[in-house]
Amino acid sequence: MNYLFVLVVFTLLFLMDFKELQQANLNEKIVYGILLLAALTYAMFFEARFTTNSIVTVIARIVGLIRGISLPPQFY
Amino acid sequence: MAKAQFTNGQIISMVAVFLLGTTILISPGQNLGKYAYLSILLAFGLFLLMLGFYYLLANLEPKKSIFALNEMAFGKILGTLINIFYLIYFFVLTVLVVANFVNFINTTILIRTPDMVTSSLLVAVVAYSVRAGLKPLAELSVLVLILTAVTVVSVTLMITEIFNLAHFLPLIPSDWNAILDNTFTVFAFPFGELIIFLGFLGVLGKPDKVFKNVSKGSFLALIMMLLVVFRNTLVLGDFLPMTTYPSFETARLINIAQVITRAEVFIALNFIFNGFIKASITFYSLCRGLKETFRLKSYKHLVLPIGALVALNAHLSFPTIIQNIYFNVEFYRYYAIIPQVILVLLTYLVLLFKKRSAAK
Repeated sequence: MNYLFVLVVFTLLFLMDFKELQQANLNEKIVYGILLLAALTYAMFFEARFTTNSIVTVIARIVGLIRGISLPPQFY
Repeated sequence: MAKAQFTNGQIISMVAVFLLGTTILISPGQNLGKYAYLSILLAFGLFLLMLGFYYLLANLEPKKSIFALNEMAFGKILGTLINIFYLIYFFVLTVLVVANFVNFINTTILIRTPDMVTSSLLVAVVAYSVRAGLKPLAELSVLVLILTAVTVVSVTLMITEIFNLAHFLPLIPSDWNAILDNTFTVFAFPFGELIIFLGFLGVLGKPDKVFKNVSKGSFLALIMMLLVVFRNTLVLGDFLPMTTYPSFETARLINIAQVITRAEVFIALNFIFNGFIKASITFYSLCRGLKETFRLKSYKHLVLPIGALVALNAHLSFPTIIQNIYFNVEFYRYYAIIPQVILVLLTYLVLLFKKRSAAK
């Protein structure tokens, strides 16, 4: 049911942009497609508990690695 | 379509509200307690120095954004890579503003509401305003600045009866290392974040006019920031570093004849408006950056998918406020210093060198 909800939300987002996309050139359509698919995939992964990382977590890990800080397990 | 004109007042308000955005609630340099104002003043000095560099960079090629300048300085491939780094930073900043907002709402006001609901609703409003462009945001920020100033001053006046000047003693700090260390943090958040404005500088007007107003706006923000920090220190004293939202806790103590109480709602409203403007400006800059980097005609159809990514990332970033503070203190400043200082200086030096070689 949750996956269905995610799909419905993203379909609605797509339909909201559909009119403008028809006037867009190929370059714009490609960028839009990549972003929408990335968001949809991320939402599905999140729903499947496949990932708990966000971009902020990734940056914290990289900076932590460079600075030699190991993140406390309860944090991430 | 006529190009939107921005008045001086609108630019000043946008800058002031942007800087006050989250700091109205989360005091910068809070862990220093009574000496927080020292690190704010030092960080502001550093910021003025950087603002000078931003001005010099913008004056090299007026009407061009940081994205166009990067491509001019480093060529198409390296310039695009640097632009992508900037875009990631702008994205992270938008996520952080939304995450701060969500943390605040879920810790103090709507405790049992799932944070996905809060973040989605905020991002939906922000996306709607970004699609409308920068002009409505600039107009709204004038009103928000007035509202913020009135709230800051009135809350301060209402709590004067419990001010304790002894909370500032001893006046001279013993640990200057901690203050200098915190200066670095306060510079990265919030002053250095003003680099966002370089993403749409050409839209605002000529660099001379814009930077004059940016300086005025930052001074205004500094005065209000100091007022908030002094007020919180005078009321909370040694408890200041232990609180999560010092302004909120301070306003909670207002009690005038048992009639005027629970004034913290004004602080919450203030934060909501300021946070909304800040999130919208960062989001707008991110969208314009994408438009320029990938040479698109319009950014408007990108707003909703980016909004979905921001909402999901904000939801997953900080499950609790402790993680948020930990990230800001231990990681954010080391990451933010790259786009805020290092890359800007590098772009300026390369462009200057290229211009001088071409002139010879």
